Amino acid sequence: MLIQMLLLFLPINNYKKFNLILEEFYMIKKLSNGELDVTLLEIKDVIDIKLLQTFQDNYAIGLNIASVTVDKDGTPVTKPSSYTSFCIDFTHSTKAGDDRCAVSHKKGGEEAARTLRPYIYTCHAGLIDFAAPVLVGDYQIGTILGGQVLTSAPNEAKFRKTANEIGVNEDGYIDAVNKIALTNEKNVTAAAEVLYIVANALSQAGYEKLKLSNMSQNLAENFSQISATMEELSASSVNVTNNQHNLSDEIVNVKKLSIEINTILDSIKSIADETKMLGLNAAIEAARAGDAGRGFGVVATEIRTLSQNSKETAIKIMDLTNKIQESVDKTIETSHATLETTEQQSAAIQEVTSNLMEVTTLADDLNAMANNK
Amino acid sequence: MQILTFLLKDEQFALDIALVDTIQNKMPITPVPNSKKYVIGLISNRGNVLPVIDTSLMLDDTVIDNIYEKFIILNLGNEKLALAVNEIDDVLEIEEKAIENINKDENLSIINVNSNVITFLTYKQLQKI
Repeated sequence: MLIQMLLLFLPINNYKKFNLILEEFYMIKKLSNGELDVTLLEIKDVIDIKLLQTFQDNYAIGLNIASVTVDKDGTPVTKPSSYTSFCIDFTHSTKAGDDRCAVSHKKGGEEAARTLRPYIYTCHAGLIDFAAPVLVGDYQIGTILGGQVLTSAPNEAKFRKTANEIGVNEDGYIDAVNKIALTNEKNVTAAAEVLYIVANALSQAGYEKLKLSNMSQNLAENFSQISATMEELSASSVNVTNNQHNLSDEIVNVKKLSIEINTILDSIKSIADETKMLGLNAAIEAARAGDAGRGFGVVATEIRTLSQNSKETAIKIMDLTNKIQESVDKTIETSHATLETTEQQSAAIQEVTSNLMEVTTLADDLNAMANNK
Repeated sequence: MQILTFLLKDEQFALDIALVDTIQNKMPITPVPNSKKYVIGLISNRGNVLPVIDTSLMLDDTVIDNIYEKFIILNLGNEKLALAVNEIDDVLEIEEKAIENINKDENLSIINVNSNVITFLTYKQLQKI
């Protein structure tokens, strides 16, 4: 497949361009028909992670709500923004805590995936969290997890119990939970909604852009292929014309040869004539010798018969070579007509090829524009 | 007897082969001024200078500008001459009685060979030249 692509593109596009296409090919998985496969899309394919990170960081600071974006497998694609000490330094610090968090996140994420809406829940440790799906159409490509806030004052006894269960310092844990921002549920819902709206707007826009760039890339590739095919066609039509020229030349050679054969036949005929004269003179001599010349007379007659046969044969051959010349003349006529047609075809193909070149350049430009190259 | 047949235009003529010395292809003729009009000129043959006879003209005034290809060299007693003809045809064996004299005054004779009528030039006719 790659070698085919290489062969197809190299005549038209330079190597650099080919590399870009190759890069693109590896980056985004496509269906065999060249369309995008939404089920194989990664969040990084449609959203500029750097932009998301900046937004997420500023959002987290502004609303005092932590957040992180994960892909569809749950692997983080951004750095956590404004994570609380409670979570980083305590809850996630032990394996038991980390595992509980993972279970909690998974549950939240699954619920968000099921409803395709932001989902607000209380985590295993008792903080308010939310999970907002990042969608392309109805397909989830990732999740924004956030929260780490409280909507009411912490129940100290409950947190002490959790600290023991996950094996962290109780007093430190209580200190940390007391530092957690207090807010009300309406604010959390609104915050989750904002993240959800912005992230999905980004992913939709990114997806549309990706589709556009993919389409323009397909367009450019198809035009390149057509262009390459037309070039081959053009080259082969030149071959046809050349072959036709050679054919015409060869046919003319055949005609020349048949004319030469006729010249030789003329001399055979004149030899036959001379032989006849010889035979007749021999007959005259034999007649003069009377009875003594009778035997010689028979030989003389044989010579005349032989000369007559030679002449007739030469004439038959000449008829044939004349027929050859007639055929050759007809062939030359046809060959000229064919030559004219193939030359017209060649010219037409060349015109189409040059038009196509322009369109291909346009398609390449479009592709470059769509891919910001 | 044997006869030599030849063509003048498309017409077949014959003469006694005993009168024929040899036959040959045409050769350059030297014209002779003030000669009989059916004498085209002279040729040199085996050391002898021979008159060339325009055979068509000799037999029939109406034929002009005949292009001759062959000469029949005749041996008429002490005299040799060349008959200019279009084509030598063949040597045939015939019965002497096949020769029919159809006009005594002009010595016009014909031979019927295989239903072809051939004009036969007699010795007497040729001697008049």
